[in-house]
Amino acid sequence: METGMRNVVVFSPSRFSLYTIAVAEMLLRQGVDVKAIFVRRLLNPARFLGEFQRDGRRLMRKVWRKLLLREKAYPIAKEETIVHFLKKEGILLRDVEEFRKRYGIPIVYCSDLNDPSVVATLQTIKPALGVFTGGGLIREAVLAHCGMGILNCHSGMLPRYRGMDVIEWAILEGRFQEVGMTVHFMDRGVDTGDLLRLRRVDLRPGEDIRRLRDRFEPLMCQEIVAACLDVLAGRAQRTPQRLEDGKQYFVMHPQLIRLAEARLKAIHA
Amino acid sequence: MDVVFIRECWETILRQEQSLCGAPYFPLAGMKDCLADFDLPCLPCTEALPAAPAAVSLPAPAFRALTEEGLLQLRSDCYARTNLTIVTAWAEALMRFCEVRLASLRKRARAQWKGKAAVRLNLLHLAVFLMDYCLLAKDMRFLNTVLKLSDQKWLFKPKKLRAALKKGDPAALFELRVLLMTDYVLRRLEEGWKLE
Repeated sequence: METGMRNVVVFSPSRFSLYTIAVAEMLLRQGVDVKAIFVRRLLNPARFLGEFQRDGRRLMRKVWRKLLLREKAYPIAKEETIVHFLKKEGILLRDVEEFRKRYGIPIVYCSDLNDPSVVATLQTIKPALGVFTGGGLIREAVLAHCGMGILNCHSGMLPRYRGMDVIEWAILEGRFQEVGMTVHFMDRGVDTGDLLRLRRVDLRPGEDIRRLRDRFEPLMCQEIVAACLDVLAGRAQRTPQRLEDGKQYFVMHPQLIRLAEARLKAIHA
Repeated sequence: MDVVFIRECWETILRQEQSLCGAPYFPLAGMKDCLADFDLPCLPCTEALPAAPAAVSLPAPAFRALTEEGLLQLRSDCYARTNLTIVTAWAEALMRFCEVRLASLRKRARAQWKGKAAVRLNLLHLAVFLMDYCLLAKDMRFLNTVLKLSDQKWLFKPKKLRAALKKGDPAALFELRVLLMTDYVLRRLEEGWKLE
């Protein structure tokens, strides 16, 4: 394969994202050329307002866990979390900036992943593929300059569960066999792009939604890296979705989250 | 919800002029099962389904195209289980709008309807429709949206509810209906209600 055909860029929600660090490092280890990492700035009033409108008070908990506690937010438990995964793989980086220092990879900071500076950088790099690890919606201009497209690992089984809090929704609806993740190409819709890989996740006794979500992250890393390699090698099978095969879900109200937790607890009771 | 509060609200309604519970809004129609759950007596208006007015031709689903007549038509079709393709399209569009635009819903509603009273009445009526559709389709995404609407302090005012019910305010009747129906559905879900 030509060198340029293994050029990818990574999109990140913050410089401290352990998921981004895991994905980028695993791609590099597989011989993928990560040409840039686009990182959304944290101190960004527009971002804070947008996420607060979407997530409400949950945003405070998210900030606390992901930015302040970081590794300490994960329990010392048997279940594998992203922290366990990083340790197991010997990945010592804890800040996306370290990719610049260690590998010379440009880190491009932006207020929004659709900023003109992002598009301009993409026009220069001409990546074969983009890998999305979080940071908000991606618009047409960015999608158009990412070669074959941008991959995302959605924490829900597509096409059935599009949108937000889909782990909780699948549990609330009693569809326990439909808790899992999907790697797909991003397009203009919400989780509507062509499917690449699906992986179901078993529900374990004594687990709450928080612990279940913690288990998702390292699996999502494995799936998106595997999908990326498949696409770059030309062996990926894309399956278009039919919108009528699923629904769009939104952030779940706390009263329904409590019900979902109760249903999860009752599975193995 | 506080059972004593519910009973007091219902007693206020029982003492009111019953015609207020009927046309033109039918705020309490189709609540038989819910009222039985709270052990509250039915009224004729809680059993009667709203008769569809002269059929309203609904435009393509959009919040900006929503009218009072349109909402009544949608509810009527919901109860009669007619024109369900149109009902579903409207329910999905309105649910999505409320979810995505919740922060600016009040502002957008003010642009849509004139006066605070009309804004509140129509949005509460919208919440009633979403709850009706939730039960029709057994789709808890609609309950999710209504719960978020009921968290809006400018829209739901439980502390002023009893006083508003005494005045026969139709918005108050809608508000009470939504609070009763959401509570009813949440309790059913706790008891293991199977969803479609």
